[in-house]
Amino acid sequence: MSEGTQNMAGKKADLSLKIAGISFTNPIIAASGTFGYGREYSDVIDVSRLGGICSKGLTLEPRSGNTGRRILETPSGLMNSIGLENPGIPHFIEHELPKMLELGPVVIANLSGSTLNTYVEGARLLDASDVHMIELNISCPNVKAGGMAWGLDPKAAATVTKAVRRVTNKPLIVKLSPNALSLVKVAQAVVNVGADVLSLVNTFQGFALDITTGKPVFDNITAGFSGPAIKPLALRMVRDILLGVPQCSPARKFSSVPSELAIRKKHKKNRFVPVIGLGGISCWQDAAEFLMTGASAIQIGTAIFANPHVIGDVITGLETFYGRRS
Amino acid sequence: MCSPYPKVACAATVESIQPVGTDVFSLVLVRQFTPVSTCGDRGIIPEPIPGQFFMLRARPSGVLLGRPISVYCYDDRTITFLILKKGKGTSELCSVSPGQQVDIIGPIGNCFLRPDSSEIEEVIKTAITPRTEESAELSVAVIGGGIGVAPVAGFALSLPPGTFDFYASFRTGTYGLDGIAAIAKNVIITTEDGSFGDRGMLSDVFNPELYDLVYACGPTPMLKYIQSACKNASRHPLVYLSLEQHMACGAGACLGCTIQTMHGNKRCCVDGPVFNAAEVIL
Repeated sequence: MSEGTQNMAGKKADLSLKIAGISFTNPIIAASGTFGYGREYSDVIDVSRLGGICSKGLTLEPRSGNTGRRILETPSGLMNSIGLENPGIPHFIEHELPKMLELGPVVIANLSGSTLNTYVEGARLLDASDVHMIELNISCPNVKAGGMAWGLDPKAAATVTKAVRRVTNKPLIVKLSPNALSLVKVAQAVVNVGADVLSLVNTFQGFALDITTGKPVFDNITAGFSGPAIKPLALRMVRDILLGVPQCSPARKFSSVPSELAIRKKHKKNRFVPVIGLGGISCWQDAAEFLMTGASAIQIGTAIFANPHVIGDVITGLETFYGRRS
Repeated sequence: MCSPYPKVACAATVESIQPVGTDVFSLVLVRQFTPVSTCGDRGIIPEPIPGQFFMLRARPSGVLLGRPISVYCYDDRTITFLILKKGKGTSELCSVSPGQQVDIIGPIGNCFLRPDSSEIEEVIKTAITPRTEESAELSVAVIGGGIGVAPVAGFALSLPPGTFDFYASFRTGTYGLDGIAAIAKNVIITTEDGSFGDRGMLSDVFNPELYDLVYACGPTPMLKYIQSACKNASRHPLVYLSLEQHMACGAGACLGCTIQTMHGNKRCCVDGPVFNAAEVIL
């Protein structure tokens, strides 16, 4: 494997890779819900440097999201209660997707829903579009019906994944909820019914109380928790999946050599299901930690809010880091 | 609509920081900046339009996100913000030292439409109650409440002298009024403790029947009062409110700062912060 390429500025690694047959220039993906539809950041940073962009969580019908306060910062973390506000999949396909495709990075549509039928109908529409990949969101903690409810139980997760798999040939990422009692069982269940890739973790379910009113801060009571505070939890969960799901063996390209996990795992004849790690990644060192643990790629979310340049910094940092190692 | 200048995300150097009122500080940042990341460029922070704001975060910082802070004024070399020390993020910003750096993203958002702009002319022309013929000039009120005085004072200073009345309401003492007396037709100040101007609140001194056009920024109860007083006034002044909301990205991406309007949700950061009062649901 030729990981490094020499250039005038020093040794920089070639970070390009393929995930489920799709070519990425690097393993850095903007996480759903934190990057809009890509163009929101194009006046501040060079969005084309990203490997991929996940769209805001999309549902078949437009949604206005949750009422009341939506954002609360906590020490090293961020609670959000957006509630899947989005213009609906038909609007996305007609108005957002064409411009998103022009940006350059792999375009991943984050598909959510309430009933099984809305997931399937949404997937059908996306399948007929030019979107490169679908990320099935069974992990949004901020909606009353659907969302995370599908991702907590292995049977429910398999049901929705299987139904969506049946109507699309697009590479299918399933985004897992860290709130599942047994994440490995949920992961195994969706892999068994055709998930091509797993991404984890979505936000943790949190709660905040306003002590001046005695009432919950958020109208929806609970909220999704993200940011640097969750990184060790997310990384542990990524490792759990790599250890516990035979198809999800560590990706070799970026993992430590030999991977800590690879030496524990017997060689599997199964198809390979890559894992995309996310949760609190704020710098290239965090990204390297996920990749060396065995994630094939990583997503950055909350960290972009405070510093949009984190994307370029992570890419450059990894190019240099892996350049030095090769 | 104002066309926004391209934003920058960079670290700006603190020129000065000084207290100007109770828990209120004036922060002056140098517009020229040097790269702070592998991707940042050397450059100059673009010129903001009155009404726009920046996300600011001290460097180093114990908080995760920048805080949305309105521009008070600027010149070729610097940008000045008035900051109310409220929580952790603003406390850090009020404790910086000259030479220290501050992470900034901006300028962000729309701006106040000027009274002489074609957009205002268009709106006034199509307003339900047309203006009486005798007053060719629009009668304008600019209103700031508390720290909300910063963006409207900056805006007022960009208007022609003698073309507007300026109202400022505070709990105690005043700040952010430099140069206003020299340029406003009338300056009306209220303080709740009577320490300056009239004792009381805006509602004690403001008569919406006197105006065609009102610009305001301040606490939500004050904006609600202005919205309803102007709606009920027979003159039906056109009202623009600069709103505040908890924000994460300041880029229109996270949808954390939505404002409910008659036309559905709008993002306070990039669709606002200035909204037509007839459209927003406060």
